[in-house]
Amino acid sequence: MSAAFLCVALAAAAEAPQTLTPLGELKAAPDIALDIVEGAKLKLTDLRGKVVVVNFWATWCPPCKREMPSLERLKGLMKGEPFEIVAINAGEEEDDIAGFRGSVDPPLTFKLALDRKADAMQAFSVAGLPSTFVIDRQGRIAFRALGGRKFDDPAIVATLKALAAK
Amino acid sequence: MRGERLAVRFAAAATVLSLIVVAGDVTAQEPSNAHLPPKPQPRELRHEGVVIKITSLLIEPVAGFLIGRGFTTPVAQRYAASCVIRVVISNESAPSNIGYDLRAWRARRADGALVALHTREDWMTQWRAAALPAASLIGFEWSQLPTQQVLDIGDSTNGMVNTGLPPASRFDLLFEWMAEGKTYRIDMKGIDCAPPS
Repeated sequence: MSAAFLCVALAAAAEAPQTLTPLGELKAAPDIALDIVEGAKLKLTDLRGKVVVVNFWATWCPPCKREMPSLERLKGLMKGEPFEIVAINAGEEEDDIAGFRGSVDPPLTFKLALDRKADAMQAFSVAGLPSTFVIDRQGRIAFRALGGRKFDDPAIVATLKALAAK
Repeated sequence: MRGERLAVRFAAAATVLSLIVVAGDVTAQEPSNAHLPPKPQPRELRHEGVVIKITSLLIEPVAGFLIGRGFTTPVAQRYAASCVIRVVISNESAPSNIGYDLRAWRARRADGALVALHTREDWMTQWRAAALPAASLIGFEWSQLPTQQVLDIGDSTNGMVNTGLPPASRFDLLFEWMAEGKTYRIDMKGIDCAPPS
């Protein structure tokens, strides 16, 4: 029993920290319009008043794929908060993305957007995948995360809930 | 027709994902390939809170990934046969954020010569001249390791890097990154490129 606990504790201690990097200077998020998979067009500014997690990803990107289920669980943990997730795909076709959505456990129910010419990636100055930005309720980029995360980690959830309360 | 095209794209993507994630496991699942040279194993290096992982990628799945993105077979195979590695850099617990520039890294060949690695900008110049479709360019560009990046604690980055070396080459990789105004240099010795397909 104690050995098992020790193993769990050691495994947890060995994991990389799950953090979002706060941005010192809050700049307005790019006002981009996105085609949503199996949905209507969306402007990011339409989500003003909500905390928005903007995630850039691709189906062929291993860390992107790994973090997707945690984004879905995050959506559940933020239920009741002014909160939205928009995952913007890098240049793939709508059929590919729709097929991927259903293959994830749990299936993805948050918004998946198309970025056919990488215009959104350019607007957010994305350098690599995955990259994630958190937009505050005033429409400013408040946090950034480069590389994969466990978005349902308690530290990240607490950060997002605090931002949603502002 | 459309279904077939999608099936090919999914198969290519699944193949490269499998390769990228578990390249080292493939050998164990293919005892009938025992006559081939040993396949490269993933390597990891930890220094001052920075973790760098290197995996040599097999030629066929890399070529398959590019073909699935619309590259012609000869072009995809030429790229894939030039010793492509997957690099993952993580700032787990460095004293501060870290910055790297791939252009400062070098591969040291068996003859001792130091060679620069190909950046994604190098390749994009070629692909744009070849008038490849936008979707092909995007797929390629974002699958490559960013040339320069600043990683805060908890951040990581990953992507393919083309070393330009022949298949089955053995080389040392000389890394360099900056933290708190200090330059860190470290090398990983004896990396094996994937064997010829």
